[in-house]
Amino acid sequence: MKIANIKNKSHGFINRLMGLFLLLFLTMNPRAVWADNSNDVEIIRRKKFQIELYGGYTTFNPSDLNLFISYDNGIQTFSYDTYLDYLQINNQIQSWTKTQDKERQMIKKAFPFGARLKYHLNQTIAVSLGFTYLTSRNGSDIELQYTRNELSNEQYVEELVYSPYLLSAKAYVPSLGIHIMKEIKNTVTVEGYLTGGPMFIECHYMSDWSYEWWMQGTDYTWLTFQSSGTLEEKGSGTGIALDVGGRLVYPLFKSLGIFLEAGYAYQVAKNISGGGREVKDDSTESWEGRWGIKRETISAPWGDLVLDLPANYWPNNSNAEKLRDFELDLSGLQLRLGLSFRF
Amino acid sequence: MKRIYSVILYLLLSVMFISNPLHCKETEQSLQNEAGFMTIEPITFYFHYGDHFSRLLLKSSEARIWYSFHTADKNSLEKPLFVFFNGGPGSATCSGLMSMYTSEFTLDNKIETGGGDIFIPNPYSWTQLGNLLYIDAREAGFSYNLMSQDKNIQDEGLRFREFNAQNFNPFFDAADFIRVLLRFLASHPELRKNPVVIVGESYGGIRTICMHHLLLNYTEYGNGAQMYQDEALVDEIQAHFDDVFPDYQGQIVPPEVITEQFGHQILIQPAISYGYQTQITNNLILQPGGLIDQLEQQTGIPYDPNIHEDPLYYVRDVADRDYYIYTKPAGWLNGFFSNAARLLHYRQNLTLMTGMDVTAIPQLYASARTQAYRVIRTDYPYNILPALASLTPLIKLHFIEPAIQEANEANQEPGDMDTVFGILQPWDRYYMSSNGNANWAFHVYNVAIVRGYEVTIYESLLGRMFLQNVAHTHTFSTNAALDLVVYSAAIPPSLARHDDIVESAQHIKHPMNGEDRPGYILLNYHHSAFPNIQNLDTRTIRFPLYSSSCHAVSLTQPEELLNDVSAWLSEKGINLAGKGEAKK
Repeated sequence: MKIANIKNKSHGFINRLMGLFLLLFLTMNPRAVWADNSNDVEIIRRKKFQIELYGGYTTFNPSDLNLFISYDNGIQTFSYDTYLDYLQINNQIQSWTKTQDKERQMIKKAFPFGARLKYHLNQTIAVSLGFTYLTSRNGSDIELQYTRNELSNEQYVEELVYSPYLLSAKAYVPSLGIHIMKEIKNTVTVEGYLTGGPMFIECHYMSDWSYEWWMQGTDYTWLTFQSSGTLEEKGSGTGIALDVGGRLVYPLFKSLGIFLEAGYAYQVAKNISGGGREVKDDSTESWEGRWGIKRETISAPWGDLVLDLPANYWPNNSNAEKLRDFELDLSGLQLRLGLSFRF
Repeated sequence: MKRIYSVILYLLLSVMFISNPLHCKETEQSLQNEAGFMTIEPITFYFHYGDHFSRLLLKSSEARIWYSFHTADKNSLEKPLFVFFNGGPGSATCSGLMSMYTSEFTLDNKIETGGGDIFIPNPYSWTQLGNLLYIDAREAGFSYNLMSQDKNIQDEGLRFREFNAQNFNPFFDAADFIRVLLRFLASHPELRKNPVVIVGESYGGIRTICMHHLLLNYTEYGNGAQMYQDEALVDEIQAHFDDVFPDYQGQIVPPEVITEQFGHQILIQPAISYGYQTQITNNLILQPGGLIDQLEQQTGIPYDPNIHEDPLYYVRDVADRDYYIYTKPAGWLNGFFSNAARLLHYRQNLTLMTGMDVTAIPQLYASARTQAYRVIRTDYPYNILPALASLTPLIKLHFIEPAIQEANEANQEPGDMDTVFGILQPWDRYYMSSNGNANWAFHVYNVAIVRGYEVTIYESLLGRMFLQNVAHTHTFSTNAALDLVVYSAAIPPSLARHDDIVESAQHIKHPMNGEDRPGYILLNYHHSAFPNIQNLDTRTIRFPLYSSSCHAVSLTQPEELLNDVSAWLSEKGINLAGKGEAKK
C-alpha cells in the first residue's frame, strides 16, 4: 500500500506538471512576445547557448525483466493450481478453492526527465549535451489462499502473501546530440534531433513472502507450518541509448520557450551483473553474478514444466540451463514536454 | 519388590556377563562397548523439482541421537560393523533389535512360558559376526531433539511445529543415520575403513534404501539432480571417502568403489516398495482360500470391507490374532516391545544392555536437557482424531494406533530414571519405544507432503531407488511366513511392478546351494534401466524362508537368522573370522 501511494504521488506530480505546460503551450500567443519586435529576434538568435529541462512519458516492454512475472505466475499455477487439480482428479482430496487479491504487474511504462545544454552552431544546427533519467517501478501486495477439502472433511488452508512484490528499472543516459531546426513564420521552430550515448541501468526484483499452512476442522484451527523470507536480485550495467525524433518549440517569452517532442528511444543494456540475497527464516544466502536468462525444467509427479526466468544466481547445484545473457530493453516511444532557455 | 528383583537379576547377569566366555571380550582389543549421544547440529536442506527459488528449504532442529556400540567377541578391529535400526518411523531400536536376540543380552522369547520380561544372555549374539552399532532415530528410544534457545519450549504451538518435515521425512531421517554412522567411524579410526553392513527392520527397509542411495549417489544430493538436497551431508560423505578411498581424494567416488565399504544390506521384513506391497498383500490374503478365508472359517464371522477398514483390522479385532504373527493372539509382538521399553527405564538394565555405566552419559541428565522435547502435549497425544480420518487404514493400524498407545504409556514413565538422572520437564521423556508425534510428522503434519514432494512411505520412488541400490549392493531380506504387516509373499511381485526397470522379479523357492532355508529373488533388469550402470542384467536377493517367524524375525528364529546371515556374508566376501580365526 505504501509503495502504491508513492507511485501515485509521483505520477500525479508529473501529470500536473505536464498539464501546466500544455495549458501554457496552448494559451500563449507567441506573436505577442516575440515576433512583434524583429530586433529581439535577432538578439535572441545571437545567443548561442540554450538549456532545456523536460519530463515525459514512455511505453516499453522490458520482456526479459518481465519474465520474473511470468515465471512466478507459472510456478504458482504449477505448484498449487495444477497440483491440486491432480490431487482432486486422483481422489486424494475432495475439492479445492482459491482466492487471490491483486496480481503481479509487469513494467510497461516510465517517466523520463532530464536536462540538455545546446550550442547553436548556426540558425539551423545545434549540438547538445544532455542527461536523461528514467525510472519505472511496479510494486504490489499480493495475497493468495488455497483451501483444499480433504477426504477427512478437514480443510488445509495455505496462505501466501507477497508484500511487497516489486519490480523496477532505472536508466541514466548522458548523451550527445545534433539538432536541425527550422523556424516557421518567426515563431514556431520545428526541430529534428538525434541524440545518443551510453546508458547506465539498474534493475531490481524483490519479493518479501510468507507462507502459512493451517489445518482446520469443526472445532480446531492449527497453524501447522509457517515460513517467511525475502528474495532479492539487483543488477546494474551499461548499454547504448539512441534517441531520434522531432519537436515543436513555441516561444513563451524573449528567451524562454516551451517544447513538445516525440521520438523513439532505442535503449538496450546487455552487460548486467549484480548482487542477490535470499533470506529464508533464519538462513541467509547472498551472491554476486552476471544476469542471464535461465531455463528451468521442472518435473513433478503431476507434470512437467519448462520456464525461463532472469537470474544472477548460478549455483553449482542447479540443473538449470543458461540460455543467454539478460537484456534490459527500455526502448519505446517517448513523449516529452519541456522548457528551453536561451542565453 | 520389582526393583529388588531387578537388582538381583542385574547382579546375576553381570556375573554371567563377566564369566561367560561367549561374552567375554578379548583383552587385546582396544575397542570397548560404549553408548551415548551423537549431536546433530541444525541442518539446512531442501526439496525441489527443479525450481530453485520455490524449493522447500527447511532447517532441522538440533538432535541428540542415541547410539549403543558393542564390540565383536573376537578380533573386533578386523570385523565388519553392523548398523541396526528398527522402523516405525519413530520406533526405537533399543527396545527392538537390540533387545531381540542380536546383542549380548536379549529378551527371552518364550513369553508363553513366563519369558519375555527379562534380559538374558543371548547365545545368538551377532557380536560373533562383528561389531554392532544400534541407533535410535530422532525422537525415538533415547534420542531427543532440542528446541533452539530463542524459542520458548513451554509453547505448545511451537512444539507442535517442531514435528514437521524439517525434522521428519525419509531422506533427512536417513541422512541422520549416515551422519551418526560417519561421525562414529571418524571417532573410531580403528574401524573407519571396515565394511559396514546395514541392518534395517520394517520401515528400516525404507531407511536402508535412502541411506544406500544417499551414499552410493552422494554427489547427486548436492548438485541438484535429486529431489532431496543436503550439501552438508555430501561434504561429510566426501570427507569420509577421502579418508577411506585415498586414491579418489577430492574426486567423485563411483558406486562400485563405495560398495567396498557400504556394499551389504540385511533387511528384516522390510518396507521397500510399500505402496505396491500393500496392494498385493490385500490381493493375496483376500483371494479365495487365502488367509482371510481361513480365519472366516475359524471364527464363523465373514470379513466385510464396509465394516473393517482393512483386512488386518479383521485379523486383530475379529480373529483376535496378531497381524505381526497371525498364529499368535493380538498384541503378542507389541508385548515384547513394551516389556523391553519398560526394562530399559531402569539404570541397571540399561547398563547391562549397553555394557557401560550409563550414569557417565551427561546428556541423559535432566539438567542437560532444558530445551529438550519429546511430545507436543504433556497430558495426551496431540488430538489427531480428525487427521486420522485422512490416513489409510493401514497406517492407522500399524503406526498410529500403537504410537498413541505408547505415548499414553509414556506419560507415566516406569523405572528409576527420575531418581538417577533427575525429573524431566513435562514434554520430555527418557525413553519412548514408539513416538507417535514423530510418526505423525512423517505421515500427516508434513509440509513436504502437502507441497507434493515424494516423501510418503508409499512412493514408487523408493522402489526404484531400491532396485538401483541392489544393482550395486549385496542384499539379504527375510521371508517371514507369519507376518502380515510386511507380507513376504508380496515383496517379489511388488518389485516386478517396476516394469520400467525390471523385466521380472522371480521368487525362487528351491535351494540353489543346499541351504537349510532356501529362497532367492531373481531380478532380471532391463539393460538400460539405469544409464549409469553398465552391463546390468540380473541380480539376486537372498530371501530365506522363516516358517515360524513374526515381523521381528530375530526374536522368533534367532539361531536360523544368525546362521543364514553368517553364511551369506561369508559368501559375499565379508571376513567374519578375522586373522587366525577359523571360519564358522
